[in-house]
Amino acid sequence: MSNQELQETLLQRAREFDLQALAEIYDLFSPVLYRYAVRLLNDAEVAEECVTETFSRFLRALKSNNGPRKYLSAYLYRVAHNWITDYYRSNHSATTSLEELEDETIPDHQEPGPLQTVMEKLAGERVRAAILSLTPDQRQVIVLKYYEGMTNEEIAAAVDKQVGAVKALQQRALAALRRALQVKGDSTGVMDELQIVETG
Amino acid sequence: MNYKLLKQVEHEPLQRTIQRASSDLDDQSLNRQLEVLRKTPPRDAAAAMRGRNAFLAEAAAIRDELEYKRRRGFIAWLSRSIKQRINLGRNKNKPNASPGPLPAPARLVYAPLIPVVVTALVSAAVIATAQSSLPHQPLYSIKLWSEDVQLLLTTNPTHRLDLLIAFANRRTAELEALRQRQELPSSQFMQRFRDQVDEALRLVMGQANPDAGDDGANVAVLKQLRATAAAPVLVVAPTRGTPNATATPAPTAVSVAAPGGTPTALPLNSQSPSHGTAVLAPYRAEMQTSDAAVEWPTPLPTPTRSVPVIGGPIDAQPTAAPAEKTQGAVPMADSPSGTGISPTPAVVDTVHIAPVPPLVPTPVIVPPTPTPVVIQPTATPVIVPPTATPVVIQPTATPVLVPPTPTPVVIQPTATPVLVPPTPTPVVIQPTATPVIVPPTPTPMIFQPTPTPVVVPPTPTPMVPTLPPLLPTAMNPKPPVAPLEPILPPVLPVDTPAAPVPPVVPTILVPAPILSMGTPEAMPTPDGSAQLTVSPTPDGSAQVAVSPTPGVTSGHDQQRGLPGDQ
Repeated sequence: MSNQELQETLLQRAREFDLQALAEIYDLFSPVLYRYAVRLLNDAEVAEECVTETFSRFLRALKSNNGPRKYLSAYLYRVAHNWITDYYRSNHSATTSLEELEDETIPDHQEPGPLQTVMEKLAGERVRAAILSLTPDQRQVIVLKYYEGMTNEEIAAAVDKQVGAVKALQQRALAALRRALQVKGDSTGVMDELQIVETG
Repeated sequence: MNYKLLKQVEHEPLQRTIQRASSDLDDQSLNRQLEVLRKTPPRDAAAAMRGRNAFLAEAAAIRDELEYKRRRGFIAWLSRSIKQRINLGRNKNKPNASPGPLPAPARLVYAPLIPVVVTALVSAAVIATAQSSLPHQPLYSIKLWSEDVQLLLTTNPTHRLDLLIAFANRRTAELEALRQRQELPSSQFMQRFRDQVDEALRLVMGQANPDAGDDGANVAVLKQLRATAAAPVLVVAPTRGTPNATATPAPTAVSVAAPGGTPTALPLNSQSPSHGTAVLAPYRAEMQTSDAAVEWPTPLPTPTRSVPVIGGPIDAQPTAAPAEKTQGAVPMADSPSGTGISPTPAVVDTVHIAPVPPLVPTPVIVPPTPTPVVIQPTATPVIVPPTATPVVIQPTATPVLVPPTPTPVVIQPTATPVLVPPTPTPVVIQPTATPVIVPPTPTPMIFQPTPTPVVVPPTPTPMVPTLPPLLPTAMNPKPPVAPLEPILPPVLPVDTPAAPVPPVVPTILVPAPILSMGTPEAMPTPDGSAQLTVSPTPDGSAQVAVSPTPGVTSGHDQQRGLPGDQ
């Protein structure tokens, strides 16, 4: 049974509120959604809240006889993405722009700990901000391609698009990320800066 | 400097190589940057377990809630079905839109009721719609059936009476609607109307309380309705091209549809004839013939019976003023539409038409002579059956105008034969001055002393022609009237001794100019054989005595050779 067939079978049972099927769905997709959320939110608790809310919305959709008809994973990713978008929209201070990250200085009270940890955090924030600046479809394709390791065919099935459309989305997303991550014309990026700092 | 030089040279292969190398560097750099987010902090197992439990608990709650809604029964299932149908209409691509099966117990209880409920709803809708139907319409039988069911289920006399009165009022309204639609009610309709009113009357009489004013009022109303139910439907239909000697407008016909009979026609004189047809219900008030003719141009079925009526506008007020109805007979005759009566404009203004039971046709014979009409006593008058109380046509307060010519005919159809109104005008009738000699009778010879009018005693004469005074004539009271010619009195034998008085004295009508009332006067006969002595009598007539003249012998006696000659 392929992954798609498994999803459809689970979805059919979930519509009848089969608790066993619902448990299997949670066990199968909650880790993926958690990783997706924590990458974009950079907060474990908020990511866990995102996962919980995503599955709760899924149940309410099944109750109202709505919800996914075929692609369960794509539906869950889209719900999580919408939740994250709403989260950043309602909590503007939770995110920072790339310019703010460039101007951000290390607080004095912070322990002089490993400099690399700080720089990784800064690099992570820059990449996260760059990913959040993408369109929803581009962001979903990038996340599924680079972080979940899906092939173009799997992504196409997940997002209910053609493979060619997925490739186009991927190219446009990468171009946008390049532009976003080369804010000051530095083609090497944060990691290059980090290497300079380490070596320097 | 070198860079500027390089750009100036524009060495394209070198540029492509540099760009490709730069892109590779970018991809590698981008990949490296994206790898920063690949590492995610490990998920808290306890938090994950709590999230899982919360998810399953919520799923169980929703499942129980849905199960409870399914168990609520047929109504919930029905509403859910309707909702599902609506959702299917909005999004037909969504599968699994079934409302779910009906719970088994509810299925057993409610499933047989579904067709019953649907049938009841449809029946109620049809019956409600039928309440506004009229006769000749498809749903009218359903309306009557519903009334029958109501009456069948009502046993309380008071409530039954209320129902009957309500139904009678319905019939009245339907009659009015039919009148407006120029339709005639069927005999079944009128019979049903009468039956309902009769039953209501019986109920009222059974519950009648002399002291109760309401019952009296109910009885009056019901009697009025009964009269309406028994009334025929009048149809005013101007006829076209009715033969008429005077070439005046054809009279308007009033058709009478007896309750169960064929519409009959009563020709009327109308000021606006041959314009159309009008349907009248006599229970409803006035009808102006001219207006009706304008409003209803559709001709009605050919009338079969007709009676001449003099007058212009007709006013039928049976219902509006039932107390004013005059019970009488309608003179009707099986005569052609043209009866020979010269129509007279606006002689009678209004005609009251009362409800009638089935009518018996009675002939009306009107001599077709346009000038002096001799009414023979043996002519068949308007015969009215004693039980018939049909349409009463009577003159109203408007006086009957008698024009000099032609002679109008006034009809007074009452239960008794029409009486001749005592008018001073004589009934006359030979416009000749020649004397009329009546065959000899045992009565003394009586002369009509003066040209005074002959007063006709009140006899059952249907029609009285009022004529202007004509020349003085004598009238023989017994038909037929023989041709009048002057007849000399019989010649008495001259040689006969003077006999006192012949046993039979012929009555001689002497021309008026010869007679002169006063003292007895003697005059000789033309042959001189006898002498007439005229003496007035106390009753105004004259007595004539014949006495032979002495010494004169009649030729007749001479031829016979009487013994006296020899």
